Amino acid sequence: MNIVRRIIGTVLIVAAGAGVIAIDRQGGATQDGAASALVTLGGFPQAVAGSRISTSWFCPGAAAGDGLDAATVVISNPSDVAITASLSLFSDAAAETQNISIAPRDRLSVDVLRGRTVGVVVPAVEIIGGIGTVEQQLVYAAGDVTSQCVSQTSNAWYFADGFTAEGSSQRIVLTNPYPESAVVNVSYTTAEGRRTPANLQGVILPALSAKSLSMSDVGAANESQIAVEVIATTGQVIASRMQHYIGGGRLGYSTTVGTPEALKDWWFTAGRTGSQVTEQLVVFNPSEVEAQLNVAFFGEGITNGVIAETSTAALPSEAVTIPAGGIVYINTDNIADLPKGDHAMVVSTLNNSRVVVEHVLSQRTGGSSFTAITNGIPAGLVSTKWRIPSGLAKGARHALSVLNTTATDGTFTVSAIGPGGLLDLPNLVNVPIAAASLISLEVPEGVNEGEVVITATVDVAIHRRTTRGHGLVGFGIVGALPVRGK
Amino acid sequence: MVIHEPGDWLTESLRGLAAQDYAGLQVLTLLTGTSENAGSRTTLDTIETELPNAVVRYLGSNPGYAAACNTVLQLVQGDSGFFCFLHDDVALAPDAISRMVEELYRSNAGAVGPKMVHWDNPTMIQSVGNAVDRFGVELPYADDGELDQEQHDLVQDVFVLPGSCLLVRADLFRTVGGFDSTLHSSGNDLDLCWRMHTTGARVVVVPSAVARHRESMLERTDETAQLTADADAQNTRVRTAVALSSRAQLPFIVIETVLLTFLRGVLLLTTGRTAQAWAEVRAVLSLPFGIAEIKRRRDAAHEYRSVDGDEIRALQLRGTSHLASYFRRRARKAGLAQAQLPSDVREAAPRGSYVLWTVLLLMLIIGSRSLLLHGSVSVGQMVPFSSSVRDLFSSYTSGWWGAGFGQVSALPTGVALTAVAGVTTFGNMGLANTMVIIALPFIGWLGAWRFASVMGTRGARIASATAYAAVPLAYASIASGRWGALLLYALAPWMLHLLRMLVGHADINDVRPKEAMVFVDPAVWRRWFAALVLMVAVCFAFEPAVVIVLPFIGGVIGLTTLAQGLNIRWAGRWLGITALSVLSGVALNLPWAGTYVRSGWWEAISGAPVDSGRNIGLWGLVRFAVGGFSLSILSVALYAAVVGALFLVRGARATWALRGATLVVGGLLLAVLDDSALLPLHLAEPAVMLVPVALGIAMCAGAMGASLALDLNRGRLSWRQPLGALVGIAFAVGLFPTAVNSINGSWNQPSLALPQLLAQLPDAQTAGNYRTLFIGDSRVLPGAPINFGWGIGYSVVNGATPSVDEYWETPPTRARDNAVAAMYGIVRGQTSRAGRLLAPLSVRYIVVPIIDGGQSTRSNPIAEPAGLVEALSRQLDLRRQFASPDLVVFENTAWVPVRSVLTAAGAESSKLAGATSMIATNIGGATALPSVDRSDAAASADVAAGTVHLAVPFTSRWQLTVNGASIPARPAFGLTTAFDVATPGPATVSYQSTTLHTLLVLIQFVAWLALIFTATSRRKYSLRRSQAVPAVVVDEPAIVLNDGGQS
Repeated sequence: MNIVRRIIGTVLIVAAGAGVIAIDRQGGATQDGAASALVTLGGFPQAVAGSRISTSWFCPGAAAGDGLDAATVVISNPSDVAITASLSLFSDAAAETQNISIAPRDRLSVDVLRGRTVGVVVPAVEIIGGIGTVEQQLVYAAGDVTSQCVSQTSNAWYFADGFTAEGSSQRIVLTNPYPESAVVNVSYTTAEGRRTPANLQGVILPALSAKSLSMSDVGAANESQIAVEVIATTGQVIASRMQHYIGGGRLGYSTTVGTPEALKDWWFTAGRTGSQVTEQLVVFNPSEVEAQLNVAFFGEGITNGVIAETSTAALPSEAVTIPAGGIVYINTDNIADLPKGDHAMVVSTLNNSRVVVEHVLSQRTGGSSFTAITNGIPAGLVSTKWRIPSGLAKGARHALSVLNTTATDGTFTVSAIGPGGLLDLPNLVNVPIAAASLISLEVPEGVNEGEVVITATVDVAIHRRTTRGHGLVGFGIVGALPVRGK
Repeated sequence: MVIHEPGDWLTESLRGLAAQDYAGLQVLTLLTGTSENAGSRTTLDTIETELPNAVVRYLGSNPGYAAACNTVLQLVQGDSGFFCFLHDDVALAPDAISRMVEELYRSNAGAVGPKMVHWDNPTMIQSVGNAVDRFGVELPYADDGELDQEQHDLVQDVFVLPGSCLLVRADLFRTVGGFDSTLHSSGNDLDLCWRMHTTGARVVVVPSAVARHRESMLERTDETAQLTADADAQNTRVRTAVALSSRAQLPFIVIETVLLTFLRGVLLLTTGRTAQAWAEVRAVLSLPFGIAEIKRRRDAAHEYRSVDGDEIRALQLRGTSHLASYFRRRARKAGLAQAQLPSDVREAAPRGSYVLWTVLLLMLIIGSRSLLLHGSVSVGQMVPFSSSVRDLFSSYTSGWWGAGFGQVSALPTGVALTAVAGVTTFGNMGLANTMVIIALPFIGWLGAWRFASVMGTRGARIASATAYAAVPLAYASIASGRWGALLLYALAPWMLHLLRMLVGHADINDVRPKEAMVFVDPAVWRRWFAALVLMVAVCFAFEPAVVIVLPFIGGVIGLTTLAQGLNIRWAGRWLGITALSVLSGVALNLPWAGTYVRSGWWEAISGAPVDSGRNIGLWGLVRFAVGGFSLSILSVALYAAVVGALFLVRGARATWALRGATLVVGGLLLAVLDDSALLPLHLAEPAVMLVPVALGIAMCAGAMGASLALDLNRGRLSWRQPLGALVGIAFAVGLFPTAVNSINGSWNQPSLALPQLLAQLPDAQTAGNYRTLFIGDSRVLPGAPINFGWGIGYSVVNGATPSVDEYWETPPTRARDNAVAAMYGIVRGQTSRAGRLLAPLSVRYIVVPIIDGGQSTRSNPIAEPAGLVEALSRQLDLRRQFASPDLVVFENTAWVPVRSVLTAAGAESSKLAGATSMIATNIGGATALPSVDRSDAAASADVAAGTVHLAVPFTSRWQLTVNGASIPARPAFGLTTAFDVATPGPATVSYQSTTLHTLLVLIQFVAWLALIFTATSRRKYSLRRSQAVPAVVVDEPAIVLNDGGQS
């Protein structure tokens, strides 16, 4: 071989070798794996945009033994084609299943009690596709209740508020929708501190079953402050609370799925202060470190029923300290300079700690009173689109509270599903909403029984008020379903 | 005298006969052909001139020497004389016949022969008869070419005399029936002499009788015909030994022959004499086909046998002729060495070869002792050969590929080849599995040895084979269970060797300073090409990525060849022949290879990619860290051979050094690029892509080996010698790790691998046949992983662990699409009812492997894809059955057996299609039909009225008969197969194969046979035997022997 060619060849090989070493320094890209299946904040009530194969909805359940008149799940189908769903009812007996078809642009209420007069029954709905949404409704003499359902189980659930004083009752319902047993530890915190009763540790939940725990029966009787923590050591569960207030300044009934995780920021849009109103933010700090937080209010300048031109947020409250594992009740009456009337709030931790916050509003009206309790909306779930599967309750005042959570002015449009499909409501198209301002709406004209959709140009947070029925005064407060993109 | 195509020597031969002093001599000349043949007149004139009294007869054709001689049985009347059979190129000394006759009388022998000397140089002995061992192997008493110093001039008994000049008693010749004309000419004399011994007759050499022998037949025989003749001679030898041994000796001689041939085969292969090895092995392998012939010969010999076997054995050589020959050669070389002056060339002694192969064999046996004793661990791709040979063949011919969710498709050729491997171990599939694993590295070493023949020295061969054996790739592949890489490692050097011969690279000769290119004889070229195609086809059958690796090797060497200044034609031949062989190899895998004509074919060939890159890193790749291998850091020292070859090797071998270095660097470049996921297309797994690197190292080591032996020793003292010494030392260090790893006994195969962890899953007998879906990082998945995206792969196997036919990726079907949709639902959070989507496909278990024992170990685990286990945990129909750091197992509670009778709800749901029908209803609780071992096997059971469901893609090829009536099939869930049974009764489920598939399999079988024949046959189609026409039979005797006298 020619010596020149040989030298050239050798040099090329050496150069290629150097190239190999250089390339080796380039790293490969990391891959998502199945991480996208684990939706952040997926345990909170929400609807998803885009197509899905199927969507699960786990509702808080109904205590048949409480004397409910009726308990239903409301399945809404805003689409143009019928959808199929499978309803499962979990209790301490074998699970029951039923296939259901929901007509296009319609909603269907399905009874879940089925003649039961004792025990609890927890409905879960599997909707084929991702269009339909589900809520639970209870008809009860102490006040009708609309509750949100969630699409994801969790191994942790928190309840910041609980009340068993003066005959009130509180049940924690644990549901295991999986075909294998789950093991759960339940602990609670009262004014006296945290308790972990031995009989609530290692509670076995058989597959496809629901179990109810009366807090009074497990050592938390006659307590005005009960924060409950449910941790599944094996499997994942749904934990919900059934609260019946009959004294101690509270009156009413509520059911709700718990909060699956503690967070730094919580939004509430249906706050109110007044002479007959007691409003509390119940903050539970399940962590091992002390939390510091403050509360910012929105709503100054709003006149009830009239859309204000401008609104500004109030100054934040002074910092509040929540001890590790402790509960703190923040009474808004004690906040100086907070105007009377409706307002929205955001509770934010200051030291990067995470807390669970619930909003309890009790009001005396005439000779009666009522208590409404609601979970906060996580900051990560404020959205430009919201859905209300069971629609807006006629007769409710200030039925819809829309808070612009951004520093940008925007607009929102309210639409409703009717026989003709999704239609924008008159006078509620492109409603301006200023930065950090709150708008409360009465039930608009033209709203039928169908699902309501609110679409905004900025991220908003929405709570709604529901009627209690049976001629009872007051209202309940329920969140709407933020629509999240996938 | 038999005269065939005589030359000018005939005159001298005839004169020899004419000059005989034996009084009663009558000469019968037998001419092949007829008087019409060209040259016939000349021959006749010569005979009439030299031997006017000779009787001349035409044979009418060329029946062969034996058949020609046998015509004397008709042409000569009387038993009281002798026949002296002669070639036409044998010239007898004037007293030769008389001396032989005298000695025959004196010794009371049955046959005698003269001392044969060379025609042109009568001082050189050609033959004084041969000794024969019990295997029929001859050992000449005198070496061909030995100087005649009267050292063999003693009358002695021999076992066999050459047929070219043989004097036999006429009565004896008639008794034994003459020569066996069905045998090849080179074995005829052995057969005749052995048969004469069985009658008690002596066979004696008479050195005082001298005959010059020209061996003109050898001159008229080309190399190919000679190889064919050698192969035929081996055939004849083995059959003669079996046919003429006594009944008591027969079983022993067969067993001993098989064992000896195996040992000889290994020995011959290790010393590069592949043709002879194959000839001997083939002779033994073909024994069963010659049973009829052997029986005929035994029956014939039985008629006149008067001496028992032991007496015959006493006449034969004790031990083996090969061993005796070896010692004789050794003694002669020792004598020659003493006589010669010291050579300036220190070529590695043959002893080096024996030492090398002894060490390698010992290392292989020691390193594989645990595999030999306990079998291979089922790790990675190395699934156990659990199916029987019969099942594999039946599956292959059925046209139903049960892998994954099953489908109507041709099965991989590898299934049939696996069955063939099982045949070689008499159906012991476990043994076949182990033997293949152990044999493959050895085949690779032999290939490296064979390839290095291009370097032209034994030193190159030793260095090349040593380097190839020292590269950790094969052992790491065994440790991590990479079949494909191991097979490619074994066959790549052979394919490279054949490629270079097909291209025309001649062996380097020190006489030529430049690399020489030659054109190969077309017949030989065809044979080599057929062998290459066979190897590519076998490789493709198990590791389709050969279509990536081989073109890479051919391309790199072709381009390097071009860069080295050779004519573009030679570079083009590299590329062209490589491409042609790859295409042909793929074609040989049709119809299965046709399944690759689809989207996703590249991934099917190259294997599931790792989206994020494997991130082994250059350091890991240069150490061949694709599996367990201790001290691999020292193996890097083997690259010293590459560096040394670049700078030290001179002359023609430098071209190969550069090619080897280019292969190393190019191979590493590709591997590193793929490792970091920087290529637009992903490549095969690193174990496969590193094969060219191993080859390059062996190539460079071979060049270095030759250089050290020749170039450096001849050069003056310069920087080359110290550098050569350094390279040698580094290379020696590189050998150390392999030796150390052999101590392990199982090449670091894990003691516990994934299939053993899955043993906890039930067998099909418990609740019916089911499937398991493996999902996770594709590197740890068993079977044939398919990339799913987002760093996740999956594979589906029937039962808990994959079977042989699940090693290959199946083409997509609707069933697979449905499973993919379900997995998409899991991985992307699109449903929590994936279990129900998988239920109609009989997916009972979903397994996330984390530690497979091969590529992912506890000390170096490959983490499962992020969030996967949690995503599965959120599925409402999945029950976590088992969780450990090694794997997580979920059970799908909604599953139905592969063959089952659905529940009423399931039957109703099955009438709908799509996700709605599957998710809305839990179809679990179906009644399993009897389980089957083979997916295409028929099964019978009593069934109730209802819906019989088969969890296979819908096809009318599956049939159900109830009470003898055929039930029409219908699609279930829009993808599987169901039968609605109206009345209960005995039912049979069976699969109906297609005629087209059977035909295609038949064509493929014929194609393989034809190619094997072409690759192995050294026979020329114009063989004498094929032209053989019976000799002319005459009624009238040409010669009459006097009863009272001697003729």
